[in-house]
Amino acid sequence: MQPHIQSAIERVAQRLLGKEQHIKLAISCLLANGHLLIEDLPGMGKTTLSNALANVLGLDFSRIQFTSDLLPADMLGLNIFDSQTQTFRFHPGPIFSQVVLADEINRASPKTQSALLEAMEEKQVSLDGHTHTLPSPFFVIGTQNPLHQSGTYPLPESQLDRFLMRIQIGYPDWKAEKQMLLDPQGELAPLAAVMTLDELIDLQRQVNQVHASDAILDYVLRLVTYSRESDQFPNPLSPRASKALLQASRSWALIAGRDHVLPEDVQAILPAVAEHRLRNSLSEFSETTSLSDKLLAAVDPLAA
Amino acid sequence: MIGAPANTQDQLSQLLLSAAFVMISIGLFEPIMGWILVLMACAVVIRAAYALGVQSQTVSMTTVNLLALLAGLVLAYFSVQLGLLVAMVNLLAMACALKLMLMRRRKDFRQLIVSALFLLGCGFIFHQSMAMSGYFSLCLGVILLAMMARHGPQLTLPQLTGGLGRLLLQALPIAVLAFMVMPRLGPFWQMPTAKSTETGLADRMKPGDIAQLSQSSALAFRASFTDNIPPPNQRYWRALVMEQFDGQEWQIAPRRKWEEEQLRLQNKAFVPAPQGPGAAYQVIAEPSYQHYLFSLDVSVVSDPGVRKRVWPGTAYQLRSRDPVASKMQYDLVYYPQTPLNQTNYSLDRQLNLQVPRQGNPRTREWVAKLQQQSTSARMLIDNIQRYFQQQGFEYTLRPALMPNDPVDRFLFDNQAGFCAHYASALAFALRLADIPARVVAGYQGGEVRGDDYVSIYQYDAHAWVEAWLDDQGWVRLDPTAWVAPSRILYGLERAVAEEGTFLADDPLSLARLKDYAWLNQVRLLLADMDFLWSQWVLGFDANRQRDLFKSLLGKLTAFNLSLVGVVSVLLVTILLAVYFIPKRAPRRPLWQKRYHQALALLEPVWPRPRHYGPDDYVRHVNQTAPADIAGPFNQLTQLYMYLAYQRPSAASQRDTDTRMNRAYLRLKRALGQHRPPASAR
Repeated sequence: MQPHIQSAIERVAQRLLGKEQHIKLAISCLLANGHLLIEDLPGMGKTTLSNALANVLGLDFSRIQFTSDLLPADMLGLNIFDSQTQTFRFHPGPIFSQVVLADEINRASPKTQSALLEAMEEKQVSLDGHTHTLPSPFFVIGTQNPLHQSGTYPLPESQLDRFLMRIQIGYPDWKAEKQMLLDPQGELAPLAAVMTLDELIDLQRQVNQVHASDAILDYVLRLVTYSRESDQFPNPLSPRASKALLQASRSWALIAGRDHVLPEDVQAILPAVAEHRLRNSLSEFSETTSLSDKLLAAVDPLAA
Repeated sequence: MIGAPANTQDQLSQLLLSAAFVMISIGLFEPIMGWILVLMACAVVIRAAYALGVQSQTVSMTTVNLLALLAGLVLAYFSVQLGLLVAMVNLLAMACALKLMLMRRRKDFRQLIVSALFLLGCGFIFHQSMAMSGYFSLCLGVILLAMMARHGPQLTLPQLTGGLGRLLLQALPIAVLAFMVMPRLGPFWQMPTAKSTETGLADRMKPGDIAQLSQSSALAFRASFTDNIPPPNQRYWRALVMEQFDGQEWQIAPRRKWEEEQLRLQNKAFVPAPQGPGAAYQVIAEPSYQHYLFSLDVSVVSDPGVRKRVWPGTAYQLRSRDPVASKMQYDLVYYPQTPLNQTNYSLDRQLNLQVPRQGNPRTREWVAKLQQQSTSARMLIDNIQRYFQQQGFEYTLRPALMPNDPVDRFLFDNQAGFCAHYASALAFALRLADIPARVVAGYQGGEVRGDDYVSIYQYDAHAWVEAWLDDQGWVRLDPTAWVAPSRILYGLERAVAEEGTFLADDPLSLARLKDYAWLNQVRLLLADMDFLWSQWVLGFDANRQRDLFKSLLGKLTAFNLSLVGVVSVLLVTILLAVYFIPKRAPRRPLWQKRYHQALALLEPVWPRPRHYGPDDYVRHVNQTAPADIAGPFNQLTQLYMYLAYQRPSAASQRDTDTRMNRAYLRLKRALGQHRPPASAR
């Protein structure tokens, strides 16, 4: 395993006790150059996770708290008339940051949501005819409250699709939570970075070089095809989803220290990558049966 | 299948199947008993209501079982009078109806499809006409469509129809080939003869009892000629020869029957020696459920193969060995110049001078008087003919009833009748005058189509007289022609035009509407099509098959015939292969094969959850299997994972193949030692 990644995981795990699997998923999402959506109840450590991630990767971090009256300009920035130079000067908003935590994204109005998602996709902001490039790397970590909470606007399927992964952190176990209670000071100290920007970009490049053999491509294709042919899935997986599956699997394999993808890699990331794409945006996140588990159980990775 | 239909597709397939059953029951309206038809209708209604969601409650198993028991009892009661075949068809229809009510599982649906196909096959026992064949094909289409709807869950009806059409088109060449080269076997069972009274000639003739001749425009038979068709006044189609007269009724002489039976047993066929030129022709007889066949005088059965089915009688008539239950085709040669004088004269004479002792006194008196006036038989006949013509006899299809002394009443009181009256009176009169005479029943005339074939309908039925003249043998005398020559030259329709009785019983017959030119065209076109159908499809028997092979191959040798067999089997195989062999999957490399073989060995013992990849599975096996099995499998998996998921170098590949083979063999051996594996599961 790459030493940088290993130590990054360990450091974040100090902040978010007992959630190593989720941390690994989050890091693999960032290495695969995708945006991450964290969906959970308030107080489960969404902000803690994103903050810690930005810190250990050595990236600058900003946080936008989404509210129903947040306007696109509050996030993207705006042109202000400078009376000294008699010109308009662009005043960048909080989105101009390498890691953006978009907190409670589903509390904002659809207009603001779509402005964010557009920026995520294009990696640039267009304002009054001028294009402003966003910093690179650019990660958005969106957090989302369960939909049954009042005052939420569900993200439409088309925009959920923009997030490479969606994870749910869930409650910590007994031991981890006790540890957390014993050490209330732990989360205050900022974490030290474990890698430089160049190292991070190099890791992203390595992800693209992880070998995905023919057998793996076939397995991914069998998975997406099954989701399209079976009638158990309200939203079958799109070609964008199959690209996302492959990219996330590569990055997962890299974290595991391999230069090639195994079916187990695909299986490890599939729930995070596919669940929010398979599900209707309006269906309750707490629904017990997991569509991605159903999909995994139905497709044989060794089928001839 | 339990509860409401799972989806629209089930609904579609069930509706289609119900429709198919409605169509089949209409097609089998005749053989299936009324109450079974009602049962089928009930089943269809239940199934359709259920498929459409009108009704969600299915019939319970108990109800259906009870119904089956009762229906079975009723059917058993009726089956004695129905006969085996019809009873079995009824049983099948009944079973299908009950199954349709209680269709629960996938298997039930398939059973129903197969049963429906079989029922459809039974339909061909009862109907073989072109129209009914077309109808049955339609039924077949609906059944197949139902099956397709069941198996192609996402297709719409137009897509299904298109798909079915394509499949049927692909099947067509195979079917045609199989039709042409399959060996023709005779029927395995005798057809029920219950329909005998419906069509055709009766084997006895009692003119006095008939007030109105029933007419039918049904086809009796067709004849096709290779050369010219003989003119109407020579087209006397002999079917039955009646030599026994009791004063009222003519029938076939028992003595003649016995005589023919004897010859039959000795396998001595009466084959008259032909004179003059012959003309070959072919007859396709419609089913009459009788033994008699049709021929022109004098016809010879030249082909010994045909003689197995068509037996020449000693009164120049032809008999079929079995009742004609389906269309029957036979080839004959016709020698118009051959005199009918080659039969056993003493028997003929003995049979044909017989008259009842009493009855018809006025006729006896009249004949005695005529005998005194005439010096020869020929002259006597002329005198009788003159009598008929001068007394103003009429040809009518509505004769008066003549219960007592019918010949007297006809000759001297009513003086109007149809062919049977004339023939009966003339034959009786001739016998009284010591001239052997008999009545021949058959058909006369017929409708000429094109240059080569004649259609003879039931309304062309006719009776005439044959008298023995010492110098000529049997001579045909047609008293009807003396009175109504148009009957012979132009057919029945013209002869009774004034009376308006032509096909009076058969108001819907197309033949009645001959006056409308286009309708007549349609009728004739249909007749032509039916002729070709009979000749080439239904009549495609072993002989025709042989002719076909002959024209294809020249000479029929054993080698040629086996060549035909081999080539046709090959053709069918190739066609099937083209359609059905899946496009060959690319060959799997050895390492993949070995790994999957190993999986196949291990999975029965250490089941692999479907989603387990190689790594998960090998871990699972490691934990549960003994080391001598886990070891080689571990190696196999490592090699497989290396080859399947990494970038193997070309050089390492050869080496891995041998290692894989070795590991596989070790695994196999280890598994063999562990059987039955105690540690499994």
